[in-house]
Amino acid sequence: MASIINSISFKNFFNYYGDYDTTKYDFEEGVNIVVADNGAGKSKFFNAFLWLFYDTVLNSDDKKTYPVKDFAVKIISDKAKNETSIGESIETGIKIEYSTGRYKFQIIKSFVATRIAEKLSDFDSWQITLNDVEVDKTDHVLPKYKPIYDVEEKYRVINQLILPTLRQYSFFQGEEVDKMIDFTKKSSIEDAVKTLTNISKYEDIAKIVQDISSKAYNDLNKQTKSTSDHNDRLEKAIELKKSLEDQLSQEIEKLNIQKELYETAEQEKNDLEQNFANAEKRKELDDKISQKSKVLRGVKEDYDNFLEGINSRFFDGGFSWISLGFEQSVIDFKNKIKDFRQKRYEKRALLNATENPNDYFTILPSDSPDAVTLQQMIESEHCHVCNRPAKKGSDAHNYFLKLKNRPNEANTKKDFVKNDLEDFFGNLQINASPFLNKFEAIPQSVMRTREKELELKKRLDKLNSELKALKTRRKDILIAGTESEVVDNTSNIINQYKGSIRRIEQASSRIERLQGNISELKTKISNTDKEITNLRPKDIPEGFTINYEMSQDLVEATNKAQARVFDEMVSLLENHANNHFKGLIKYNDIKGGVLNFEKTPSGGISLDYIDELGNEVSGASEGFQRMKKFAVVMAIISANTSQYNYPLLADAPLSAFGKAFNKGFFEAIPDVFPQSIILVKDLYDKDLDGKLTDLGQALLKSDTIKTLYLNEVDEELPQIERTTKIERRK
Amino acid sequence: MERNNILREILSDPNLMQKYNITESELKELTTSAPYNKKIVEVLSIIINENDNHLNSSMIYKKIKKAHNIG
Repeated sequence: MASIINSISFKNFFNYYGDYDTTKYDFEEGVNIVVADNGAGKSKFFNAFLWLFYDTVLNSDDKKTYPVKDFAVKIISDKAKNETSIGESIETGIKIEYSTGRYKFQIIKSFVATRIAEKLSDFDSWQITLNDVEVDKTDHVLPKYKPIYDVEEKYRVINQLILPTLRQYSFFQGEEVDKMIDFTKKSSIEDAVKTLTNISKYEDIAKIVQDISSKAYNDLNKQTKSTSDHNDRLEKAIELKKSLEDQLSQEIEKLNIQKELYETAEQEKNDLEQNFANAEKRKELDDKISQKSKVLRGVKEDYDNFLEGINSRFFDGGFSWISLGFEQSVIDFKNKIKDFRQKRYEKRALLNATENPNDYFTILPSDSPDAVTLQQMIESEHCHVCNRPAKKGSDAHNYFLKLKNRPNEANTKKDFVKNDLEDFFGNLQINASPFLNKFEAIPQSVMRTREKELELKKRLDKLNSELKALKTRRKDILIAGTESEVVDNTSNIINQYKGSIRRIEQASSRIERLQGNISELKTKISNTDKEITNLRPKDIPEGFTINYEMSQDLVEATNKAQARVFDEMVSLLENHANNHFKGLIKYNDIKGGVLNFEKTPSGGISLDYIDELGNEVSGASEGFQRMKKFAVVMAIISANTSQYNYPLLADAPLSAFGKAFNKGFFEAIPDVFPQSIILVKDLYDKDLDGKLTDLGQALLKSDTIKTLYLNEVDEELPQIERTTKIERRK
Repeated sequence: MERNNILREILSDPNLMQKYNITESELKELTTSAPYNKKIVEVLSIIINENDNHLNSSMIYKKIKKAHNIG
């Protein structure tokens, strides 16, 4: 009977704060979904099973696994830690209930942490004691748990949930699907087939019957010797057979070596093919990058020159941008210069006139004597105005002379001020004149410049992003060796690649030749054997003869059966894989190819992804690649004659692959797994009312989905307050 | 079930069926449990069953010899 997980509950386990009864998921047979955004408990949920199976947890920060004991402080809910005082203890654990037909089991793994220091997240602040794993058992008739004490039995119960050998197919995180089946390694599919089918039984039986046959042959020969007289012909025939058998085993050994060489060469070819193709792609991208970089440099130069040129447009008379917004200033300037000149003239006139009136006036000032009186005053050397003597040569007499001669001195005017700014303003007018008629054109010129700038910028951005995309693509192409070695490696890769192909061809033709030899030797052995049978004395107990003959027949029949079962399995796998693949991708718009399984000359299975015309499909998206692998895993499980008895536990198996893949996946898994518990974020949308996407809503209504939970964590709260809220939607 | 299937699969070889006189209908009913109608069925059943019991080929051979009355 299949193992079905009934429930899982947590106690202060990461953000699952609280006791087991407050953080519990109940599950049913069929598909169960836990929807959660990043950080809302998906990986923590997955960690519970890592603890259960391996006593480890995965640290999402560095993607490494740690033993629970070493990581315990991080496992405890921060809220719970915060609520624990120094000296107090707190328990953290996981509880899983599962049933297998008649029995139901409960497994609890837990530890106790005692706080011994203040710092909450410090590993030294806590003393950790791991509790013994607790396993209880009950039957469905009288459901009362009874503890299991035997340690081996406890681990048998844990392993029975999902057998260790099958966990790689049944318990995984998203990207691990890629590692389940490595298509470049032929043995990977064979290993999977061997793990999940009974083909190895046939191999065992073939070995046993071969061994028994040689034992039976030896026994028969012993009987022959003990019961017959010397018989030359028989002896020779037996010797011949022995020699033929030795040759046969040598040829078989050679064949095995060639098969191994073939495998190695093919593996190398596959590995190199990837690198070779990558090297070519890389070269192609390098050329594109170089070309694009050159164009980019040119455009960048144009852009820089253009930006530098913008400054000159302010002062270049052809553009005159500096005068933008100064339209009114011209009128203002005219008015102001007019005022300035007027006022300056007035001031100058007034000041000079006050200081040197005689320089400016040709008529006598008021109260001055008339010209005749003035002449008399000069001659008599006496001032009649103030009635004082004014001797010749005295200041007074000189003043009389100055007054008399005043019109003659009027042309010796003095400057009003030394720097009269006339030139300054004049120059301004001269320099500004080219700008004056540009006012109207400036906005348009600025606009055109801006457009040009945007155009260049856009081109630059486009080129930059194209270059970045090319570089990213280039980076994504993995190649052996480091970046700097790539160029040197390319020729090596090509040589190695050609070498591996040559070796494949060589091995292939040698295998063919050796198989011919082997078949020939087998015929010879069979004929010799017949001859030996005829020559054997008749008095040998019948049992020995029958024993040998029967064992010989069984060797042949078992080998044939083994080959037949293998062929049937390959064809069955192919059918199953294609059916699952169709189911998984059926909502995807892009048409998928066909999975083709073939036997290789070395006896392995190769898997090709081909289109309807038989051409290999390359460059399928990551979603297709993963679906392809998952289809093969599903096929390996479903093609197995016995029912698969273990649940599927997958964390984000299809993360970011889109709705179509998700939909196909949820519909396809019940065909293979009796129970699935899938942790996804793709169905979550925090902006929608119900927090579920269209697909999430549709799945809620689907009959194939048995339970659907929604996890939420209040991101606004500080870490020490955060708890995961579990809401059952179905 | 699995043992029976392996038994039937190996014995379904046409040459073998003809030589040991196993009919199609008989083949379908064959099991690895005693009693056995035919010696070849008995021998192969011993191999299949005892392989499951983790006996090595020498131990299995001894049992086969007994079945042939030569052990």
